[in-house]
Amino acid sequence: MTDKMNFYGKKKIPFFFLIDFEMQKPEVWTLDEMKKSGICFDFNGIKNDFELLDFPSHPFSFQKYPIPYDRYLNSFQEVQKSLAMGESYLVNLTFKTLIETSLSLKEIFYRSRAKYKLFYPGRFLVFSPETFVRIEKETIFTYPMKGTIDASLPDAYQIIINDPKEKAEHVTIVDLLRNDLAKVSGNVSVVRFRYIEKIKTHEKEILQVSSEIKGTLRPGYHERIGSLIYDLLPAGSVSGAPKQKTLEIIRGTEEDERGFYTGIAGFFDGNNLESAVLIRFIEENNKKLFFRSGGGITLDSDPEKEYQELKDKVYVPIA
Amino acid sequence: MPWAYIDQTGKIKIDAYFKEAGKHSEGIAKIKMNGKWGFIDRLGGMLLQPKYDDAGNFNHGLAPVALNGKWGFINIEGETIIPFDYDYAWDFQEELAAVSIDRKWGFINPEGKTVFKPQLDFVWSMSENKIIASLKNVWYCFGRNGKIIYKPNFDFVGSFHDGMAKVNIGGKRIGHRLIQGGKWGFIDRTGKIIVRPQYDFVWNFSEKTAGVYQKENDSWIFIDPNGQTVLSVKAESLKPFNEGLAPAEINGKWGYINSSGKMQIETLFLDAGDFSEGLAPVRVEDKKNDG
Repeated sequence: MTDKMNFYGKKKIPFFFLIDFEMQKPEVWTLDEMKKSGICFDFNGIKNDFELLDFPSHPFSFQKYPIPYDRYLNSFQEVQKSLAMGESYLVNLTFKTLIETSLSLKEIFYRSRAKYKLFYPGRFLVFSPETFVRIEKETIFTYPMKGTIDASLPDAYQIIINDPKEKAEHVTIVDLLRNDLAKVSGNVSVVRFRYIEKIKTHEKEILQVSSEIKGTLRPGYHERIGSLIYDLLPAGSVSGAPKQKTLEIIRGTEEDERGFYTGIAGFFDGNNLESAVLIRFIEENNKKLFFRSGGGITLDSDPEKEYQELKDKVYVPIA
Repeated sequence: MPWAYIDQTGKIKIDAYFKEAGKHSEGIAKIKMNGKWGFIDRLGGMLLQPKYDDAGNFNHGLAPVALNGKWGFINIEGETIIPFDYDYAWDFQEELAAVSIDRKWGFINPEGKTVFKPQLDFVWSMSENKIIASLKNVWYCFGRNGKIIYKPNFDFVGSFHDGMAKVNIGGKRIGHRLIQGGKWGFIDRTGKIIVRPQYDFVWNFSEKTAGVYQKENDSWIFIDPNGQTVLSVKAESLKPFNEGLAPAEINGKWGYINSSGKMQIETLFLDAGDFSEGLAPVRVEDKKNDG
């Protein structure tokens, strides 16, 4: 797969790619190949030529059936044991939530608002706010996100920005991603630290904390673009730190294989690259829909709060 | 209008996505979604997916549920423990559950064994070791052994709470469970009238008080087990105290008052249920899901 990506990169042939979290089932398409697959993507306005459909903004139903708290708590405690033994200091723990909605996944693709939207018919739908990496000319950027809060809370901005635990987690992730970028680029620097964006959901508005990091790539990087991407995987924000040991903990604790959830998708247009972390992810399985969500666990984490966050992330961004 | 759950500070603990919502008992509450009943935990996690036509509460690890017109009892894994043999079934209370077959009521124990054969016209759940029941329009008070203790001579009798049972005189019975008009008072365990029937509506005693209503002067008060007024409240409607808080309706919205009558949780809700295990179901405005 790396070879195919490197080949397209070298020839400057535009291609789209999907890499699952376990890095076992990657897929790569040229734009022509994509037409047959029915896949639609819209990354910050960069789209393949899918049919433009008009879905009227009818009211819709959306119901979630979160997993029992005890089941969450069991896994949480497993993770905490590993953290206490010093095997990891941040673990991203995720679960599936059964949902029922009058919306089809296709309709959510057309009606939702998100930076990165991707619809894979019969498989999944993603409306991710999170960039994996962006490459413009020879600069590589990444924007780690960590920390959300209900925007309607009084002083929401102050609370999230001053919360020492949120800050510590964010620093961990920024550090991890800075190290990741340093594997493939030079002059790595944090351009913006902990800036806040507002995200609108069908239930409420939430504030999201992000940072911006950049690095400089060597000229001709696109000839080994596949290798470069693989060197950065899996994405730090959805695994934890240190990466390898944390991945073992995730494999040992989570109930399901992640598959494309928390994997990445990207589009190389022949010059630049835009890619996303596949979170805010609805999976179709035996005609049932599962929303996958999670959060970063540290030794200081409060299980009830983390569980609440897991449930809060189950939404569709249709205002 | 969906139901959510709040804690004692009034903060929403479980988001509003239930058509109906019951109180928590043994950490579990029944909820209705898409026309079916299921069960959630104290943080809103789904313990049993909504699939039941009707449901009661968990007690002694068992909850009555209805499927296809018949009631049985399930455990928290959703396994059938007592088969779906009953036309109606109520929650277990004090180790007995009232069940009905062919319009007659009796009691079973948690093993599913019939303790009192269904032969009564109507029963309340076992409460404070006594069963209040009616047969051919006569009320009875039975002990746990099934012996008649006495026959309360009223038009309607409730079950015992804090040693008191509500009674009605002069009301017209509509079916077995409902009564219209008349005046309400309270009797004690021996059947003696403690509060003379004088109220137009009364709640059962809870936390040593009962909310009572008089139409004449449109007033709600809480009385103690001696019939003395302990609190007079300016509200359109009230519900009993549970865990120190009582739902109160003021200007069409529900909040909660504390035992001194002060508003502790603002009147923000369209309806409000009892607190139990630190949580109370409240009905909130529908969220708009249209674009």
